[in-house]
Amino acid sequence: MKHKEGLKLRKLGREFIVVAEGMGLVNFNKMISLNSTAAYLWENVYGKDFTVEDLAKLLIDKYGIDQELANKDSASIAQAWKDAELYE
Amino acid sequence: MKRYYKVAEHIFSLDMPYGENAKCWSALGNYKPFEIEAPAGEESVILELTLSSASVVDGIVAKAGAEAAVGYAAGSSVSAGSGKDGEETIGSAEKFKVGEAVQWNPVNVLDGGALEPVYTLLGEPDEPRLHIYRMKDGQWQVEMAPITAMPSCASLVMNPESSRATLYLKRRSAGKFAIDNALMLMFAFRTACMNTLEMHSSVVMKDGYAFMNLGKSGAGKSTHSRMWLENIPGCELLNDDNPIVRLDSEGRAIVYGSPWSGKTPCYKNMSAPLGGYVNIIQHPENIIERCSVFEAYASLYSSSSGFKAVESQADGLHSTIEQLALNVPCFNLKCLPNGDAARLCCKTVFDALEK
Repeated sequence: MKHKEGLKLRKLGREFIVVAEGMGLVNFNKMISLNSTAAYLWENVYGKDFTVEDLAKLLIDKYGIDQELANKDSASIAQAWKDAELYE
Repeated sequence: MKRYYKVAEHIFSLDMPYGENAKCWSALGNYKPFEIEAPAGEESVILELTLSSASVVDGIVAKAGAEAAVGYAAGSSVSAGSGKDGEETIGSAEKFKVGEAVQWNPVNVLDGGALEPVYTLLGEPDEPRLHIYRMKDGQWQVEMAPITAMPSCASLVMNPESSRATLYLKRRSAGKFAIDNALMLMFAFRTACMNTLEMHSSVVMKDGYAFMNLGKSGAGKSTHSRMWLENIPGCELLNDDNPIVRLDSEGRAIVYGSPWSGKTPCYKNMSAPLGGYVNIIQHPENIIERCSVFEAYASLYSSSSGFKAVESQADGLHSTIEQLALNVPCFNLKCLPNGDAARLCCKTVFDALEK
């Protein structure tokens, strides 16, 4: 999976948002709200080709959770990004 | 002759190849309240627009001495300008048929070379149309027309910083449209990283505060403003379409009137601190709710002008919008176009201000 080019993660107070700012995304009129965990994952995979396993590894590295929970949570965030049409 | 204007404490200039008493200046009466004496130092002027005297032939600036060819070939859906007032007239656009968008294939207005399209603003058939292209040296070329059915009526060539531009008119009759749009666009682009937002909003002032009505085209922003004016004592319209919001040195949001106000001639050189802003949504009953910071950000983001594909502008817009979203109350107002909606809204925004 790879995110669309021209998306930008921004901090809004204590929250995080993703907005479309690139030339190719002028018709992408959506704004996505991210919690701090999703923002951490975003920062580490944006601009790269990544898999759900990469996300799970990032969660384990940062939060020390077990593999099963990490798999479940990363599958769910990967799906949420897909539903929001954030992939190329 | 060059004239200077100050809008939201930003100074800009307009240079036109006509004398002081030429009719074209009086056609720009919306700028009159904002006119100032030439400033002592040019460095305080943030942007300069020059109207070229050169004519444009087949999309390219004609060489000196070429015949002034304004208008279009026979068979075009748009009638050529009458030209009877001569070149000193820059009246409003003449009547033409609203229909399908015509195809535009502009070339580099200076040398006839290729352009890279980067942004298109194509609204309803009766709404203005604007296309932004990148020229090969980092400059921008902007083509514009008052409605989508019309061929481009002017080319704007702007430097990468949006601080200097030359406007080439292809139709003298659309001169006022082109000058207003060129200045609005430059102002939005140039001030995006100066704690300033050029908004699409209708603003009412009351008791020393300004309240902005936001919403999609046709949502009833202007109508809701009118409901305040007709039903609540002590209200005044500050601007009906394009107010400017600027953060002052203490981070307070101040709303300023501007020379641009849509269809309502309301060009007031006044300002007031922003008391709140409201998303207007048509609804069969009147309901008002406080927005989350996220919703507030989203509504300001979609109501502010600027070219987000330019990183410095996107960064500037974000920092100003974030301050407003975090610090100024925002509401969703689902409403009917009536006095009760205005009274409910007015009471709610003032209650929030007192807290």
